[in-house]
Amino acid sequence: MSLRGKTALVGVAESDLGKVGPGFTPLDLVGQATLRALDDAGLDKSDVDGLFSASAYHHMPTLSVGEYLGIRPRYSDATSMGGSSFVSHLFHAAAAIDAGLCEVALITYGSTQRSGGGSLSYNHPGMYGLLLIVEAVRQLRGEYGVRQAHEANIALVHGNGGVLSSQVTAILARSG
Amino acid sequence: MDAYRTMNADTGESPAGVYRRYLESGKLGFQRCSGCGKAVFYPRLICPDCGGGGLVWETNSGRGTVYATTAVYRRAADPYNVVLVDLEEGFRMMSRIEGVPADSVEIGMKVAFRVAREGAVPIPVFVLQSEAP
Repeated sequence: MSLRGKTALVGVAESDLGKVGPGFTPLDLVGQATLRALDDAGLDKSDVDGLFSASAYHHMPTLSVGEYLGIRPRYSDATSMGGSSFVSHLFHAAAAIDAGLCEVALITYGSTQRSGGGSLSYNHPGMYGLLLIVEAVRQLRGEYGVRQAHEANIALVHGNGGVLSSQVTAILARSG
Repeated sequence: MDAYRTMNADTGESPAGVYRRYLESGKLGFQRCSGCGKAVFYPRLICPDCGGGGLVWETNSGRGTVYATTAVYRRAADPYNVVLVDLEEGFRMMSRIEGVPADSVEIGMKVAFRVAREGAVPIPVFVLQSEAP
């Protein structure tokens, strides 16, 4: 049994990208993108009865997103497997629509990671771990001017990669 | 005209930013949907009722009624209180009642908004209307 040709992508949109102003939340960006995607699809929010989301900020994202958007879905899915979450959501949504669990599925994601400091606030030890070490060393050396941490003496650097695959902690201290 | 009325996310300011600025000036800001007229809280970019994107800021009377209450007990400290308050303008928010023992707060109490400070951070709290100035 194949899902090919049984459902269609009827609207897509992006939120504002890059750095957003202070105070904008990941959910604000979800709201922005949702408005635009519904507009692109020519659908109303009340048409949506399936909700799919993953988030680095919200532990149970379909609850937070559902509250923000005022959507009470018949079917929801918060499968979280990193960057491929949304590909899985596409498959799950297509299957759910095919099975009659919902008719219009909204798949949505928002992040303010870059505005929140980018790789300085959250990191992956495999790809960017060295950046954290650089940040820590410069902080300990007192080189950072306006964003210099007050009296930085000891730095803890932690990277969180795949679950049970890469957890790294390093502690750096000033000498003398 | 209320100067805050012109502020919204389209001008590049976040809903949380505008809300915070209202608090700084001693006011409780909320949004009203220009499409369906519903009061919206917490602040956001899309109406959770009709899905419209035209949310307009308003300030309110600050008068409300306790919808739900609970006392949270801590070890070696007085309990604190958490409430849901229904504001006269038609929205519900989470807060706390000050000036009353945590376990004496009751559903239906008439309360009034005020800004408390925790360090530099303005916090929206409520007191009994009978004790409000």
